[in-house]
Amino acid sequence: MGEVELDLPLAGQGVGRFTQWIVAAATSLAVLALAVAAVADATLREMARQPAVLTVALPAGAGPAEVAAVVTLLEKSRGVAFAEPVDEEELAQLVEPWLGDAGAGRGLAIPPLIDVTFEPGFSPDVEALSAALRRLQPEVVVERNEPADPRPAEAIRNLRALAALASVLFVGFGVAGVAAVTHLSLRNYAETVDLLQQMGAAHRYVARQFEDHAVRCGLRGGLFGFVLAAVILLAAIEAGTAFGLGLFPGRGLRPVDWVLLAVVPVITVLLTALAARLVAGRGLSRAA
Amino acid sequence: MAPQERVVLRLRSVSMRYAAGAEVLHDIDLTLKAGSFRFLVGPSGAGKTSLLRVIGLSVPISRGSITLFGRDVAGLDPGQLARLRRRIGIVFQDFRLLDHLTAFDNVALPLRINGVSEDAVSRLVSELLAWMGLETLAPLPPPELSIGERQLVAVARAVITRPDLLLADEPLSNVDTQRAERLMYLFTELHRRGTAVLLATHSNELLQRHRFPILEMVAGRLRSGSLSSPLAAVD
Repeated sequence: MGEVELDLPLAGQGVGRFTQWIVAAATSLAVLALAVAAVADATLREMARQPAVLTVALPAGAGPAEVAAVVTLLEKSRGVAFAEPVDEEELAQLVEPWLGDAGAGRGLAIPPLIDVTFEPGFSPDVEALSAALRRLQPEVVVERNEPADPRPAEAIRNLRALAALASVLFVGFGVAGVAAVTHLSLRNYAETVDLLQQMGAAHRYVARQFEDHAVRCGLRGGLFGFVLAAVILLAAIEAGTAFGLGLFPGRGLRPVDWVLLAVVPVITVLLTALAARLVAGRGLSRAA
Repeated sequence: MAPQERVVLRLRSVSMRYAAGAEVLHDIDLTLKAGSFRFLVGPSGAGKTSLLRVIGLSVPISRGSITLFGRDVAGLDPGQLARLRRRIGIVFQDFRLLDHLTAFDNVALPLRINGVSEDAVSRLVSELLAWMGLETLAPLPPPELSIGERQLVAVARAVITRPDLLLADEPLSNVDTQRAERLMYLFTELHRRGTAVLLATHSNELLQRHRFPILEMVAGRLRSGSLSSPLAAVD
């Protein structure tokens, strides 16, 4: 069944026919931007799930019994997945860049080290752990193994914020576009609007014509924009997987991300309809 | 008060000018009761259309007062004005049909504005179009209709709500005699059922055949006329 023709010829003529393309473009861009934000968010969450790692250094000359006591204490500490002394061979490799093979060979006293790995997602209290260890071994040193370069995480956080902001802006541009089209249409169809008012149409009735037009175009444009963006995203996921580009963490976007993306056209349609109604209503009130 | 005694329209010393131009209507006094029928005559440019536009609340007046259905229209808000306008049917001289709608939807427009259900719209419009012999034209848009057919559609749109006041600006000028008689029957039937009718015409023949009171517009002023008046006999 065809849809009922509106009293105002907004769909077929004038600037009104651009409404659905404005909504389609805004939706498509907003969905893509939000997908980028979702991917950035997933990446950050994955980074946060990486287990924290500490290195505990005992004073040079500490014996196996002291090392074992510290390891036992560490293993009993909250959140510790495992604590493992670094063996002598590995220690020799660590000091080799500075001392050459002389370090281990000449029997230099090298501080015993213990690698401590925590449960994924657990954030250790390094101060409290250090204090507990010093009660057992006063000269112990605890160092957190931070990533050498913290900038990637910061950049991803910024990307997430920018992408989310861009998504909001694209929706905003779409709404502003429809508002501008409504404003122009109100002027272009002043004669028809006058006729409707002559027949007793209240401002609400006329404004609803613009709102209905925005909803119809919004639904068509929103659906088109979403499908277009979804095709682009699926193609990107496929390409990323096929060529190992690492564009998407895990297996692409999660179902919850797709639900979030699907909300974008709905919000766009609602906001554009509201904008059309308000702009038309205000325009009619001013003209009255 | 008997329905026929009810005053539908009262103009008191109404004058009107378009924008900053000269006055086109001067000190118009007019009272129409429910069920009254008046012909409005006068030469082109005398102000007939302007008077109809004033009564239809299309243009603001510069002086005087308008009382419609017992309410002074000055100071009414847009919603109240809209409610008054819904009780008025207007046949525009230039029809003012919407070209993107079918004849059916053009006629249905006032009903939809009045919030009538689609079932009732369908029934009422179909009945009226059939009575006017336009049922086959219902799905056609105005550009595909002849001038006479457009005029009939414009009349149908004006009367579909059975208005309390009907303002018709040359409603018979483009139809053949047979259809003109049918339209006059429609107008007189509405008048008989309580609609106040004000019909602007240039047709002396119409005035001869239907002996309703005549109002003459002369250079923006209104006066009672008669068939013997040379202005009333303009054709």
